[in-house]
Amino acid sequence: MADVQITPEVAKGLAVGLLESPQVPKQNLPSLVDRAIEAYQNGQAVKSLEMLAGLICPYTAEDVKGVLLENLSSQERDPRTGQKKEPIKGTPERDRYDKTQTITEAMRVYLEGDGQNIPKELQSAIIDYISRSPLYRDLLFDDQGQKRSDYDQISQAIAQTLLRQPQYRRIIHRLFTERLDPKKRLDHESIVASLEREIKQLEAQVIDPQKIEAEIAQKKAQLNQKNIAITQDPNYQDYLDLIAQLEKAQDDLITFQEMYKQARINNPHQLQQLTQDISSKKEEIRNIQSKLSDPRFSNIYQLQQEASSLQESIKSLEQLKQQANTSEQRQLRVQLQEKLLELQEAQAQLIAERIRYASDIIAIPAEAAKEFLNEALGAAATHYKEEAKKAAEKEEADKRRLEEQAIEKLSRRLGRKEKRKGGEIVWVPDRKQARRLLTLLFQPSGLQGFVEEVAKDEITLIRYGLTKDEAQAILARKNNPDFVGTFGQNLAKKILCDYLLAGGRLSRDDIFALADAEWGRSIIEDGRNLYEEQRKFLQSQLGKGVLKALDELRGGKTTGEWLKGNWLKISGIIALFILFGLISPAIPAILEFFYRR
Amino acid sequence: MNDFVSLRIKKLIDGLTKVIIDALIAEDIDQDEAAEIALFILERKNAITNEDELNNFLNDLKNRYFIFSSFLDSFEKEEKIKKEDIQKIEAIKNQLLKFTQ
Repeated sequence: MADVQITPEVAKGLAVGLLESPQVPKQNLPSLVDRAIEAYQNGQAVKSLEMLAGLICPYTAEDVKGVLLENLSSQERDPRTGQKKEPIKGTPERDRYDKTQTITEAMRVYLEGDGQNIPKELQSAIIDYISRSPLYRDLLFDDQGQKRSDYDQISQAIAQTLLRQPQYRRIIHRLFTERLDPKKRLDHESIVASLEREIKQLEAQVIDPQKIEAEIAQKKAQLNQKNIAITQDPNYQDYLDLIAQLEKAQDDLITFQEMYKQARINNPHQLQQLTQDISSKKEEIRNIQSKLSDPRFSNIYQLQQEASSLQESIKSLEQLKQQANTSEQRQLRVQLQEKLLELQEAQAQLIAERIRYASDIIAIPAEAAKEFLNEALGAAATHYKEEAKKAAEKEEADKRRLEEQAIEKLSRRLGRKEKRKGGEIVWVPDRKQARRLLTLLFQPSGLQGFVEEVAKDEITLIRYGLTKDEAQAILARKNNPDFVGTFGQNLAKKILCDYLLAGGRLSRDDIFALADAEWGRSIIEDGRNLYEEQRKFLQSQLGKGVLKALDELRGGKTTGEWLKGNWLKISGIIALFILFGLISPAIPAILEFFYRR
Repeated sequence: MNDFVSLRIKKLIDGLTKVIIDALIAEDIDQDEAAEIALFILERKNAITNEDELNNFLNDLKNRYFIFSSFLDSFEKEEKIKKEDIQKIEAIKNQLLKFTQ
């Protein structure tokens, strides 16, 4: 036949064929959809919809039994039905199968109905689940963990309520449809079957010398047994005697026949006598043979025949053994061993898979209950979570308010001194006190050491004017690094300002120590901003003239001029501190003036 | 419910079921969506007692589930033609009746 030519037409045909949308193969659809299609094709559109909606069970009792047998039994198939036989009674496999079958049938009956028909096995499964659920523990058990007197009534009521929920029924339907799909097959089932086929093929090709040796030994033992059986036959001695007589008669006959040949030449008158002897011997032989044909010797003959057959087999096996040592045979034997190991592994996996499958089916009611309760309680849980969050936020807000009040009070008092003004007490920045605190801040322990000192204990904090609650709020959080960061920094920047306002100066080391630390840089930045605010505030309160007057204190250069000349040039936070230091001596006077107003 | 509405519902349910199955086969929808749609149809179907409710149901279906749009369009078109045909026949009948009288 000539090769097909790829003409443009053929190519076009191929291309069109490739582009045509393939039909969706029906066999790939889930069983539920298959069943819905079947119902639709039978003119039962509503039933089809009910199946899809999960309102009725799509599988028959036979479907369910079939899939369980297929996946839980290790038995051979029944040739009449093609279905696997039930597992052998009394085995763990059978127990699993029975248990699964019971719960499956209960679920199927439940799904077949409108959800109101509740088989007791299903109810028991739910009770078993709720009895272990922490959700119902207090309801069902007392403090000692003993069942309450109304345990049965309550647990049944809970189970029935649960089973009558449409949503619960829908979950069961979904799990049931997925897991009991009649098409479902365990992964290792086909692997085992395939390995068994391969092994069978290999076994047909492999000559195993050990196996043959064993067979030879077995056959030899059988042969030995046959020979013993022959000698132990009650007629064996008679048989031997007859055989001896026969052999002697046959020998005699040969002798007579030889003599007859000789006599024909040398002694013809003896011929008649010899002819009679020969005839007589032949008659004797026939008689013995006739005796040997007696049925009492049939067992001996049977045994002899079997022994002979065994000898033949042994001979053939010994010949076969010679062929087993070829390299091809050795390779085949290795392959067979590998496949046998693979089979062993696959069979173990298959058993594990069967156990898992049974557990998955048995667990459906409990899993559905768990899912349902999670969904049902989900909304409530979210609500309570939100409420708890609000409460926590409120608590947090209350705490924060206390902290803020405490910080406010501390910032008014730390680094300041008491001053009376017309019978009224005011707190003005005090350089010494502020310096003492700043020194603490410059220690290696930094903010933590500072906070430890300021918030040493309740009494210390009360001395700073805090209430007991405010003091407790601070003490409760003084070891929290986040709190220490914010609380410490807030106080430190106030103290820094107070110190500078009180005419304090920062040494070069102080500035470098601050500028090196993260929190220090933050304080410097805040301090810079605060300075600007204070400056603007003072300017607005006291007028530009005051600042101008202060500027004059700076050796004839106005601050404005100085700033103009240096502000933009001086970069870096340390320089800004120098600026603070330069103007600070004048500030206490301004503040005194300010407080006097 | 009159026979006409009842017949329409039956025809409609047949058609809707086919659309759902086709959509499942074509993987336009998954099983969960099919379950939701089927449940919606079954629940609403039982509440239909007259033509207005049937039409509302059709509109709801069209608005909620895209898979039905072309089916419902042709269904409605077909029903409209049928209805008009019936009306025409009725009118002719009436005219003939008048004529004989």
